Amino acid sequence: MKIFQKQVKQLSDEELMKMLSKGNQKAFDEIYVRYSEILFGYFMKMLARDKEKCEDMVHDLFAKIIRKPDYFDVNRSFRTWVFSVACNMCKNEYKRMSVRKHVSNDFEPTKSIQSDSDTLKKVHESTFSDSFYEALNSLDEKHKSVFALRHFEGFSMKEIAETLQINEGTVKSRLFYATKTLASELKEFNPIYNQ
Amino acid sequence: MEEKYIQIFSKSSFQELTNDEKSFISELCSNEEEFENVKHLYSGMETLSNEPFRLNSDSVKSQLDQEFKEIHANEGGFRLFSFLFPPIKPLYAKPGLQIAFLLVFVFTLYYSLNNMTIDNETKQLYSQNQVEENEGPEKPKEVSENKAEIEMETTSDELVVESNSSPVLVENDRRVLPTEIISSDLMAAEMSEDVEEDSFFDEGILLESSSVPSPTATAMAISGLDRAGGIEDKFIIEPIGEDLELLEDLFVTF
Repeated sequence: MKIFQKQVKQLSDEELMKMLSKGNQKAFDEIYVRYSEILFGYFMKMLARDKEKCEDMVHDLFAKIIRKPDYFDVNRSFRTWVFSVACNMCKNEYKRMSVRKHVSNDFEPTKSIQSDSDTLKKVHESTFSDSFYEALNSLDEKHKSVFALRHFEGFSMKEIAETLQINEGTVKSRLFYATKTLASELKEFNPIYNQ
Repeated sequence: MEEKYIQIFSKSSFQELTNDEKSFISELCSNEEEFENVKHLYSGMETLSNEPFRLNSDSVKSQLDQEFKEIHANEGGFRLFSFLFPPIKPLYAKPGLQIAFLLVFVFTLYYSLNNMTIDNETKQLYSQNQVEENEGPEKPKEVSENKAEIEMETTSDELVVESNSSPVLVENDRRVLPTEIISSDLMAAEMSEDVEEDSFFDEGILLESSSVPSPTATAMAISGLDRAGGIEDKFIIEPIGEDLELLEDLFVTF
């Protein structure tokens, strides 16, 4: 049994997917071990750290892998494929969220504009982490996904281009835009400006 | 490329950058302020990347394992069954039940339509049978009656032919034909000048001689009056006889 487990661990993602499509439970377990945490972290960063929703997203993604393993092209990288599925799921979730936001805006009372003192207080109280994810979630989906894949998942430009099915120049320009936007929004945390 | 960016942003200040490095990062940051902002962002993100996100793996994994077993457990001889009745899908979405409902619908539709046609056919057949039953026994009688009449007529005609043996009466052989055809033949015979002339001029002579029948008698015989009740002595057209006034209008003077 241990020998079999070692063999499974030594296999590539693509080989595991071949075995998974034939109904191999061990292959599925190994794929889950390799990617569940990574995908959960990706969803957490992309979906404003809503833990329950992100768990559901991870479940849905692996359920898709179980039900439709044939959708995966064995000649393609599993890593880029599974993240492209995750990106598409995030896109759909953003659409749903925007619909809910529009609907809820019709019924919510108008909020009073926060004063400068409130903003400053909030900035000082919040940590960099909260502000960073808030700023990240304020970006639109295409810039956010490029930034997350590059800086959180360690994807190269080529892998991002393959995952999102865009060319590398577009990846680069989106990444620069996202970096500049985040840097300008988080400049309050820079000790140079606080002095 | 990425390593070069890391090297550039690891430098302490914008002034330390060479012109090549500045041009390299010009797309991302063009001045010192932007450079500092990006640098601070990258340094802050290094702390974020270590932040762990713990998935409650047990609950998710147990659900996924159950789904995996349900899908792949019956792969031996029951693949078709697992395809038709997948345990994960809701009841209305199971292909087996969908196919079953479709078949039931198709069969009910087929049988309902078929019963409708069968009823019509049976009704038609039943009505036809009733008509045949009503008409069936009478038709043979009629046919037999007609046959008897025809036989009677032929026998009587044969008797007439045998008794008279006249060339004029040869036409009586055709009396089995319908009366219209016979009358037309009679008209044709009447239109023939020879017969008429003979009939008019020799009538007196013919009437006297009993051996040769007169044309009127022939006409009577053809029209069937002799069969009506033995009225052979009566004529349809009165014989001219000695009353020559009847012939006055028939002669045309030029």
